[in-house]
Formats: sequence, C-alpha cells, structure tokens
Amino acid sequence: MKFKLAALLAMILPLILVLTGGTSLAKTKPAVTTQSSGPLVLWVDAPRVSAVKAFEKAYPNIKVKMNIINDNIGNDALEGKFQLFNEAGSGWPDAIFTVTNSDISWMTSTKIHYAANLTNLVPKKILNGYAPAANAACHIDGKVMCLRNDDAADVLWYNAKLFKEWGYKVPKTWPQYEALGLKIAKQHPGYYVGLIGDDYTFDRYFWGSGCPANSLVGPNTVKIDLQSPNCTRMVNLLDTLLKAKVLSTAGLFSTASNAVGKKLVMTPGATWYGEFEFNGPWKVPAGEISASSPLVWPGFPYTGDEGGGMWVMSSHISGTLRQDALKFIEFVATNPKNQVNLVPTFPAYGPDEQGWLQKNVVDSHYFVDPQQIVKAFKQAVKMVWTGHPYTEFDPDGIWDTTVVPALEQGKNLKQVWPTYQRELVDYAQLYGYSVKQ
Amino acid sequence: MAASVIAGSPRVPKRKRALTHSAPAVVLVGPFLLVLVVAGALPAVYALVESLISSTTGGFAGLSNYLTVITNFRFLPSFGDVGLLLLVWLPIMVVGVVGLALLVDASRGRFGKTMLFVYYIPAALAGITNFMLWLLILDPNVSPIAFFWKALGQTSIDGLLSSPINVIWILAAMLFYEGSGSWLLIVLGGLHSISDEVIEAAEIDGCNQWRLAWRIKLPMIAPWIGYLVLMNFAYGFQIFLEPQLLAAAAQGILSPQWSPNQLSYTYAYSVGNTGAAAALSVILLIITLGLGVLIVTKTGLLERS
Repeated sequence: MKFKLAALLAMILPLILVLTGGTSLAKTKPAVTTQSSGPLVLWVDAPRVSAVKAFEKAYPNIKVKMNIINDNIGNDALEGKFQLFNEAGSGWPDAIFTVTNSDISWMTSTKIHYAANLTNLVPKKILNGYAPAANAACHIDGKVMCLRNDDAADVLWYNAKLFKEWGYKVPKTWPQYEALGLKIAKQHPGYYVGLIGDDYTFDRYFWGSGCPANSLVGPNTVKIDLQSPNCTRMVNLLDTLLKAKVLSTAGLFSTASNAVGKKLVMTPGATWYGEFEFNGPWKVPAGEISASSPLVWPGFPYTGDEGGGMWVMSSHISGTLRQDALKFIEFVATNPKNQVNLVPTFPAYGPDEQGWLQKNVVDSHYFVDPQQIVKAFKQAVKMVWTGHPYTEFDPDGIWDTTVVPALEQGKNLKQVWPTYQRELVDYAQLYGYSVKQ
Repeated sequence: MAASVIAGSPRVPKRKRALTHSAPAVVLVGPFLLVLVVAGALPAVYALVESLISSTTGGFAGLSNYLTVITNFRFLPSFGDVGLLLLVWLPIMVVGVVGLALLVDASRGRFGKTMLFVYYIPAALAGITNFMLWLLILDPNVSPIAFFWKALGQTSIDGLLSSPINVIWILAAMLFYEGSGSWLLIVLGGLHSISDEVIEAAEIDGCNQWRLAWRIKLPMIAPWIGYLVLMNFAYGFQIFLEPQLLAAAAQGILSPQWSPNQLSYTYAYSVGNTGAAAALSVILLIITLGLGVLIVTKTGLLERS
C-alpha cells in the first residue's frame, strides 16, 4: 500500500511541476507573430464564396486559400477558435467575413485583438463612400475596424395587393401602425402585422425606438435601462398587437414562419426581407410586395438595422500579405463586380447602391412600385440610430433565451420585461462590463 | 511439476516471484494507464492548477475563480437542469435497459435475436446522424410524427422547447434512444455469464420466469447494473453536446449555459476566463468522483472482478 502511494505521488508530482511551469509560460502573452508572405488565407461563409471567386478572377496573381466556415447568426464557436489561435500564437485567417455583427466586439477586444485598424490603411475616398450610419458598426473608439458588407436598415414591407383590396393607407409612424394592426385584427382575423420570436426582434422594434439595452456610456461601461420610455412605448405597442393576435411569436428563419409569411399584411423589416423572406421561404407570389419608408416615433426619426455582415482584416499580418488582404476587403466590400453583380443584399457602400437597386429592385419584376422601394431603401440607410452598439453580450441572443420562451408560454412582454433586464445585466457582468441601470 | 510452479517454489526469492507474476499484468494495464494519464489525470491536474491562476494577471488567484463560478447567475440553475434530467432519465434508462435485457434473455431463439437486433438499431446510427434524425422528429412542421405534436398542441420547435420540462423529457428520450442499444448488449453479457446450472436448479426448485428474473438473475447482475448507473450518471451529469446542438437548431431558445459543462465552455471560449472554466471543471470532477465512489461501493461493482 505504501509502495503504491509512493508510486502515485512520484507520478503526479512531476506532472504538477511540469504543468505549473507550462501554465506560467502559457500565461505570458504569445509573441505577436506577423506573417508577411504566403497565400492569402480567407474565411468566408457559403454565400460569400462567389465574392472570393470574383476576387481571384480580378487578381489572378494573388494566391488564395479559402476556408468555408459555418457562420450562422449567433454561432459562438468562432470566438473559441480565435481564443485558441491566440494561445498558440498562430492560425488566424488573414481576412474574414462575419454575418454576426456583434462578433466585431470580441474581434476588437483587448483579449482577442484580431481586427486590424483600417483607418489609415483604407483610402479616405472609400471610407467616405459609406453613409455615416452605414459603416457606424465598424467605427469603434474613433477607429475604422471593418468594412460593412450590406446595409440591413429596417423599412416597412407591406402587401400592396391586400392594401389595395382592403383600402388601407400605408402607415408612416408607429402609432399609425398600431392603429392599422388593430383594424386588421377586427376586419381580417388570421392575418399578421409582424413576427417577434427571433433574435432580430430587438433590432427590428427597439433599436429604432432608441431603447438603451447596451448603450456604451464609458470605457467598458454600459447603460441597461429597459424601463426607459423609449423601451416601454414599444412594449405597450407590441403587447396591444399581441393581445389582438396580429403578431406571431414565430421566428423569422423558423419553418413555422413559412405559414405566417403568406398571411403578413405588413411588417417592419430589413432591406433583405424582400428577396430572402417574401420571395424566399415565404413564397409570396410576384406582384404583391412593396416597401415604404421606415416607421418612426413622432419626434424621433430613426430606424433599426438587422444584420449586414462585415469584412475584417487580421492585425497579425504585414508586408505583401497585408497589401493583398487590403486589396481583398476593398474589392469584396466595394467593387461593383461583387457588390452589384453578385451580392444579393443591399450594398452598404454608397456608390454601389444605385446599380444594385436597378438590377435587384427595378429590373426584378417581383415587387410592386419599385421606385418607392428604391426611395425607401436610400432613406432608411441614413436613418439608422447610431446609439445602439455591438457589445460582447448580445441583446438579440438574450431575447431568444429569455423573451421567446415566455411568449411561447403565453406571457406578454410587460411580464417578461424585468427578467429580460436582469438577464442583460447578468450577461453584461459575465463579460466584464460595469453596468449602469 | 506444473503444480509446484503455480504453488511457487520456496527456492525462488519472494520479490523476484512477485515480478514474474506481475509482468503480464503490467503489459495488460500499461496501455490503459498511459491513456488514463494522458487523457484523464493530466488534464485533471492541469485544470486544478489552472483553476488557481488568475486569467487576467497570470498570478496565483487563490479560490477566487471558484468564487466567480459559484456566484455566477447560471451556476445553480444549470445544476438544477442536469439534476432534473438525471432524476427523469436515469430511472428510465436503468429500468428500460435491464427490463429489455431480461426480456431478450428470457426469450432465447430466433425471436429474442430479432428483438435484440431491433433494439440495437438506434445505437448503430452514428452520433450526428442520430441527431439530425431527432431534429426532424422534433420540428412539428416537418416531423413524421407531426400528428403527435399537433395533438399536444405544439406548432413549432420553439414552442416545444420553450417549456423547461419539455426540454428535460426530450433530452431524456434522446439519451435513452442513443444509449440503450449498446447498454442492452453489456447487461446481456452479464446475464449470459450466469451459469446454466444455476438457472436449471432454480427451475427445478419451481421458479417461474418472473421469480427467476427477480430473485436469481437481477441480484447476480447487480455489478453490471451498477456499471450502467455509474457510466450514465457521469455522462448525464457532464452533458454538453445534446443541449448545445439542440440550442443551435432551435435558434437559441435554450440557454447557451443550460448545463454546467456549457457554462464552463462559455467561460473558456466566449468570456476568455480559463481559470473560471477550470474551476468549474474541478467542481464537476469532484462531484462525479464522489458519487462514483458511492455507487462503486454500494453495488459491489469491483468486488466480483
């Protein structure tokens, strides 16, 4: 017995010693390796493969190594990979596309420190091509840390055919939207005016209302005040419509939304709803759908924004490799060969807007009154409220885990609101933010 | 001659005899020990060391990492989640697997073999295929058992998973479906090890099939049942994959920190606090080990071997 114990100790003690040494070594920050040559390593999701192909065609001399990543909205596995690259001191892609906009918060954090500062690397002419609100998500502490791919500002989508049949006027403000919603509930039960069961719901309804769910008020300090009138006015509005049974608790991307989509009379929604929802899984026939300018609160002329991915360049590269990576993100984010000819979403880069609208809205033959849609899109991108930043804790994701289950259980927003506030505070603190309530 | 070798010659020194005796044992146990050290002991010691180090300063942190995780808002709820899951799933698993094994054992011949094959099919599906199958079954809009979900008033996978109790039942069903086939084979192995003489003697004494199963077979396979409980308890307590994938598939309606292991994952890969992640792993290890020892001593798992 004594022998066994001694053997066990003899085995474990050196292990502990080795590991303690190993750990303290691992804790010293890995030397920042800057790679200056080699093939350009690009990480993109499946819909962005065509952009990489177009780049390869335009720059045949630059050797590209492409990795296709799973970048579903809210996929948190990506950050884990970067934690490991930092531990190892190598492995980062030279440029990456992310569809989850809040990723930019950890990519630029002192902990991960992946994104390169583009302020002085990308020509001023290109940076000035973006409307201020269009690239606002990429402006962090006064520096440009990424280039926005597409602008996903919210407009009001509506079924023009039903509106004409039923003799309705398109609402311009949230109170008008509420009044029309109640009218539809009475006159045409079974139809809907919106969906509130997905992780874009907060962005769709509360962003443009100016609701402080994660407002940055100082370094690493956020204000979370869901009792602000900017939030409660929308809570009351949605609860009224929920009670009238004209709001669906289905999520935008769920199979359950397919049936709801066909019964949507109107909904606030991002610029990509036309192609990716109505003409996509919802299968609404051509000649019915149109869009008009964003809904606003009286005296508060702002709208929200749902996604619109970002192109980010690595801070771990230099020399030729960095020049190549710069050429790449400039090409994919701004060149009409990609943004007008290939990209199915509304470009964030201003000079590409008109060409894209002509090709995808005016010439598409799917929409009703395309000129009105063109006007609405152009207007909406300038109206996105810039007071809603992307933080490491995500009000959208927490909406999914907190609010959606409560709605499914038959509660209303007012009932779940204190829980949502508490969870936002808990998660903010988990990620190291100081919280002002 | 052979007998004297086995009995041990008095002229061979005691120490040398012990070595000759243990050489085959070392060969047998060696590879296992190596894997145990590399994949078990080493990570455990690493976690223990890491849990005492601050992720921000890199210096000694005392027990502050433990305090961080214990006071986390998801700490107790996540233990509540797996506790409830174990309470629901383990009894189903044990009664289900042992019951099926006794049935298959009692009906030897072609029918028993066919049923064994049928019960084993789910376990033969590879993990990820199994999971895809579940996603299909769970979504009322595409499910082959849509009528069942509709009868329960469920119209979407979000609605189904929005109730914490539903999540427990669904995970329990998934775990039973994934694991029962393989465990059936293991428990059957135990049943087959009971000698025919014992069974015959019991039958001559007037035991019917029920009494045979209850009085003779069950007590004799107690260690196998203990093993079944132990391994499944450990798996269930450290559950990660099933709720993680379920959350991804149901558009995040499940908390990303549903189980303690997921909370640890969040600390490691999202918050970037490896010390706290390690502290939580150590807590999980201590609980699993403690309960493991309890199960081993109570069922006499190691005594028979």
